[in-house]
Amino acid sequence: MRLNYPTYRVADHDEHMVALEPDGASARVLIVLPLLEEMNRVRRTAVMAMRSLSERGVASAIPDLPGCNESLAAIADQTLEGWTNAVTHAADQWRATHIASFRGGALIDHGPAALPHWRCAPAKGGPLLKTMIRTRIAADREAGRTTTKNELLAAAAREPVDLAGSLLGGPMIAALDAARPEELANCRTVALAPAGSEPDRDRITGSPLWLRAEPGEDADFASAIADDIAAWVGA
Amino acid sequence: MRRFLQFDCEGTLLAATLDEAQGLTGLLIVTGGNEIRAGGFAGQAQLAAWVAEQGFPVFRYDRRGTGESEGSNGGFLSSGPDIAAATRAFRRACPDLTRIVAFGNCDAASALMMFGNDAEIDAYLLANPWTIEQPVEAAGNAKSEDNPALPPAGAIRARYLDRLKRPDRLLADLLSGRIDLGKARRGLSQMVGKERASGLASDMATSLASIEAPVTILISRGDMTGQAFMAHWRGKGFAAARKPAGLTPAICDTASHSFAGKDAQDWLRAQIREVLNARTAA
Repeated sequence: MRLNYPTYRVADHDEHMVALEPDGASARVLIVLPLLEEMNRVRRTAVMAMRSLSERGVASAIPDLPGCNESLAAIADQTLEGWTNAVTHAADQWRATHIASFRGGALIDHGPAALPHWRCAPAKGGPLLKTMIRTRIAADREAGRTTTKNELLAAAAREPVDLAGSLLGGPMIAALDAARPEELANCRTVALAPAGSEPDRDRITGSPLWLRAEPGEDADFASAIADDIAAWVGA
Repeated sequence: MRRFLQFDCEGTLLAATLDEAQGLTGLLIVTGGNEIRAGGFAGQAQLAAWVAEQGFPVFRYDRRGTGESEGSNGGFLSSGPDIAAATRAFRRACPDLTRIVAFGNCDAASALMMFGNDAEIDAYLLANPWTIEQPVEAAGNAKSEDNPALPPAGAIRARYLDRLKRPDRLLADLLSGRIDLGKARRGLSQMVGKERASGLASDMATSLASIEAPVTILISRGDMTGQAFMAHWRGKGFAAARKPAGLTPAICDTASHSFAGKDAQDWLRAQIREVLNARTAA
């Protein structure tokens, strides 16, 4: 089935989405991917899951966050609040019936509070930020520069800072440091079943793609995601 | 105007982004590794937007088995048909195009070198071409070893594995950055000089020598991949490829494989714009 490319409007920009929308779909699941570079590593597997969901009559879509992927907005201008707002707009304009998020996507998915939520391996912002800072420090060291975490955070107060390739604004960095997934009334949370162990009611088969050095795919993970979401929406 | 489309490659649907512009010369961006077509840190998407602002349309796509495209991932060694299909799709999307310049970094540069001739490309920008033969399947594919129907890339890779001369240990150290850069460079030159070029580098040299369109090679001075290529470039294997006058790799004073950072990006963009603006010799 062909992909659709709907758009949604936020802050005077039309942002790109990729969607699979089978006729007569029983549910419309908005997928909020992990943040920043983790998105790159998970995207293909998520699209594979979308194809599987489509075969079961479930529509799904991934919205671009402003400043990310195909967005023409500047990443340095973005804030977590802005992204949360964007997800809310996307869910509303694309007429989502469910929200499914991964990792740091769980930090910005709480806008459409009335919709049922599904979260896979939700992540707190602090550890995500820590990883990015470590990567930046290591890259600087290779280039012969010594940078400390405090220097980076101090610089962030003045201007956007390049953290592992992404130019992030001070408010975004501060917000990430403190961010935790919000408690939601209607939320199914699944973790990854550790390699070699059986999945159970709340753990699905999958490898932590977001830890990899470069994007790849995990077909078993994609199937597990689709199976779990299809059952969850009652398809 | 940025728009999104899909096109066919041997029965498989590939996803693409087109940045529209009025120019008759267009830039085709071929993506390296398994990266999505927006690129690491949305770098390719940003580059495309800038190039389109300069007046040149830009086309980039997810090859089979990557990003939003269908199909299975055969790695860069099987990406020739994808490159050819992409140039055809680019021309269909922009019927006024008279010239396509293709840009690729890392193994995308290698793929262009080897398969560009089959794709009607008018000029090449090849950055940090990948010459290192990996002893394991493409990083990131959890089930690739279980794939019973190996794509042609698998057969090609098996052939290269048989001819692999470098000890795995050295390769692992090179790829992990544990080796001192200066030493690694001398070691690579020694290694390349002593033995005949690896299968992949040798095939790349042969292909490069057969390309008649203008080629620009871009190298990051401090990048492992770039250094490995330069070691091969200076060796006997690339003697025929070095012949065309003016084919001297342009070196950027950066350690970044992907030309990250303002200075390296400005340098890269200037190189790209120069080739886009060039008129082919009559």
